Amino acid sequence: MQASGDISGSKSQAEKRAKRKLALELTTYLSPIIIIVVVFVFAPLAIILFFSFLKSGPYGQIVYAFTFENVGAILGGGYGKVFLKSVYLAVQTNLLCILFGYPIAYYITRFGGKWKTLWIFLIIVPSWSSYLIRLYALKTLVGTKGTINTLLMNLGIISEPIQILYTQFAVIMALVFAWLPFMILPIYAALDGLDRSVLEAATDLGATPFRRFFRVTLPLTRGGLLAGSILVFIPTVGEWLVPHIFGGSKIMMAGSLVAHKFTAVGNIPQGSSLAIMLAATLVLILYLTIKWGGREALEKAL
Amino acid sequence: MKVPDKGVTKTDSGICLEVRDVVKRFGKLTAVDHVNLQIRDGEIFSFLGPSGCGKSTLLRVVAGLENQDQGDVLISGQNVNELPPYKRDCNTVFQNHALFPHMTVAENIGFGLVERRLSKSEIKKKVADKIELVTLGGMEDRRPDQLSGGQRQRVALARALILEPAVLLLDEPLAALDRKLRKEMQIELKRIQREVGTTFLNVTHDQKEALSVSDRIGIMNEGAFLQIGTPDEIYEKPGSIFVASFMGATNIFSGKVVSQKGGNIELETSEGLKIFAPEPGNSSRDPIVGVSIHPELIRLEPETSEESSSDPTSQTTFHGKINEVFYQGDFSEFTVALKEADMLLTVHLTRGKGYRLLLPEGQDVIVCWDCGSNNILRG
Amino acid sequence: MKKKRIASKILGALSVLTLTFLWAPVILIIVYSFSNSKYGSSWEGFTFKWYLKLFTNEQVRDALMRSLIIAGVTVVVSTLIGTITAYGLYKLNFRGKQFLRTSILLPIVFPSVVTGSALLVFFTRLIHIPLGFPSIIIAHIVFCSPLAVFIILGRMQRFDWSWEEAALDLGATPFRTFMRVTGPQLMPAIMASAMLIFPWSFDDFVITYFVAGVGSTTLPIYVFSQLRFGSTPVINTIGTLFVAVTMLGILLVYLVQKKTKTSG
Repeated sequence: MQASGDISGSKSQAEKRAKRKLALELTTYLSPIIIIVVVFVFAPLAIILFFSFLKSGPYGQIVYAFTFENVGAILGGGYGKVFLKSVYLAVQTNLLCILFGYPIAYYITRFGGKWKTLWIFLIIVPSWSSYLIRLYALKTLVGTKGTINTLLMNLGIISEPIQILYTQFAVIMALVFAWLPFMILPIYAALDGLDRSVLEAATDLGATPFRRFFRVTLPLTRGGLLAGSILVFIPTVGEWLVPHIFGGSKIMMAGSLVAHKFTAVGNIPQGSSLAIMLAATLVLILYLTIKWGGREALEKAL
Repeated sequence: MKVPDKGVTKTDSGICLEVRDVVKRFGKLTAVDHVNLQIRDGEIFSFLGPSGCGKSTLLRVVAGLENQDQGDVLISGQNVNELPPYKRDCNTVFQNHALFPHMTVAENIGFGLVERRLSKSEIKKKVADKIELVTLGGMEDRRPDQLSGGQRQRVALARALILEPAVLLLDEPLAALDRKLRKEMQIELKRIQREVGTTFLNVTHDQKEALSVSDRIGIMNEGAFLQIGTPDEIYEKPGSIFVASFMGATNIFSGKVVSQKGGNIELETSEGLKIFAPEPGNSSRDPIVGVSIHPELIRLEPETSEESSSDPTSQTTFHGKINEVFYQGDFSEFTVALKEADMLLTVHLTRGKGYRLLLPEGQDVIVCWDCGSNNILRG
Repeated sequence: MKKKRIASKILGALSVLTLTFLWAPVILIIVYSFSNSKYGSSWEGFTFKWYLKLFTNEQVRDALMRSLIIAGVTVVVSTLIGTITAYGLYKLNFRGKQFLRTSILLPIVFPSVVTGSALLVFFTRLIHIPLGFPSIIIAHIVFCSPLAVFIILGRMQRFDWSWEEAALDLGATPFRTFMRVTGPQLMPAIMASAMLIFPWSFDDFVITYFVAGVGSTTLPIYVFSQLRFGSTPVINTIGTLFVAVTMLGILLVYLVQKKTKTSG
């Protein structure tokens, strides 16, 4: 019985009618999304959770025998290291995005003037352009036979191409390149929404521009930073294309492991266990972020 | 002068809207608490009370925008409990006007007629009528965001009146306007109501507005009516401490009746003061808990050596000292500290009365008023 | 004051550098798309032939058509589901609402490889939906409709619901109220969500790659298949067109927003 019951004592007809109406409205409005969530999100997750405790046969078929092998390989073995590395790379990417993103967002807000819209346009376009094409473009630039190497060799600065591809540097660079706009935009939104009179008040009360930035501006744009970090960090951890293109077989991340098991090896149980583990890791991270006061930031970010 | 529209429903009983024992709860909060009310045909009735007193909720229950947990609502004698808002014979002027931003003034006003499937020419004619009624000629094709606050107000009024409801509900429509405009709109509201003859049910927290526009006022607090009456009754004879202080009778002496003689009652206040007041005619069941006196009924005399002792049963007299003076233009407000008790009185002296408005702060004064002005409060 | 000007100059230089980093590769492939080099990674004189080749390339045309159909269906279905879901979530109070909201977030925040692999296993091992159009469209609806829900819900939270009450009060039934007042008022948000979902769906590679099966090459999958050959002029031209269309789309959204803002 709900809290309303003890007040009115007996259940009136109006209450029953309201309940019937609510049930009808719930089915009308929410049944499609509930079907999507239950059938196409929860059920698939349940299936791979189930498969992650099964064995794979020699020809890629699934052997219905219960095992902890796959999970053990992640928690104890080499795959665990790949997970840690993914998180490590994501943290680095995130920090670099803040490092490059905050100044440009700040510059646009303070000094953008009439060019503000153009600046923002030039940042939004890459964020909505084809992800794959942009990675391809970056590869064209930094590849072994890429523009930078060709240029430097033609100028006689280097005698043989610099190996940029398939290094950790290349992976982080590509991640920052791919996700930086998603850090700049929320920070810009937060900075742009700042009440100028607050900043003037800080100056009036004796804060130098430097102190004012750290005591007023930065704390007030925390929401934007948090939103940007969610937008950058979460997809980065599960990244597949960037390590695939820029890391090759040298730099693996959790996402590329999952894709590798499914698309190249065809080991469904192992792939499932890795996918589940990846999902669990992200849910944990997300849970901690929300607990840290980020639900609003998260929904705003979307 | 126009004859009231025929569409206005008159019932034999003369009761246009009746609310019977209505209760509305939000979770554990009781917003409307067993309210009974009858509103007569053609009157302007105001729900007056502080914010959160349940007045808007009661209005929304009448409109059908909220469903009551208990009780009945009758419009023109017909029980409308089961009717959704779009089938009730009442229309609302919303607090923020709620004009449809994607429609012109004419389209806004004609909105309800389209729902009634009237022909285009009929709609056009009726809309033109109402535009004339609210004096918005020439504004037909404007959008709401091109109108001033007062004009939006008129559109909202016309849009609701065009359906010729049995009762028009006004949910603090003037609250968002500035003071001068509000005054103008009060006059407009009364003119329009007299012209169309529709019953108006007005919700407000502004005492002055309620006093000037209403035929009757119901004072609400904590989900119930404390007093219902004409403006002068409510203002001059507030029945309880809450109504007295809410209506600006800020000087309240709470106390008990100690004796009764010669048509007077004698009250002893908690500070030990003795005050006489005329014996109330019809006795209510509720006990007398004090008296109130309006600031404008009190006189101030500079204290002189020759003390004229007057009869305490015809004149209430105290000694005091002027604490502070607030000059208001047409009158001055004084706070006077009584010497007989630890108490501050508020006194208003108007320019017209010829009183010296500029009694200095710190001046010793005699404070007096007629005992007949003492208003009895019950609780 | 001088100090301030120096600070702004340094910031400006840094910003230009960052922007260059974001744009240099893109500009590079735009330039190369007009280059005569058959490897598409150096400048050997101006030509327009790769574009002509692109338009006669049947593989590209097929892939483009497939992507357009998928994105079209996804946009319509997701926006519809997003609208009614947002309305239900906003209007109704029920137990488990918070849980439902969080669940709807999952497809957005899960990495694509997880969503893709889980759906692949689900489609092939459990309900046996043929891989191809049906599986791709379902997958796209799964990750696009939550996006629509939150975009439209965000607008609803800033919506003046007294409009709806006013319409009901003036005699409009709930259905008529939606058609005459609520619907038109939510239109900008609904259009915005459609505009965002289209590229989201059109551009998706990872999830599509998992559930596409053999023979259902969408445009991103085609691009990916060409990647292993390194740079090619064809991808340069596709990339250039992609960027151009994105710019046009964003300009369009910007202009529409500006117009709705000025007209209320």
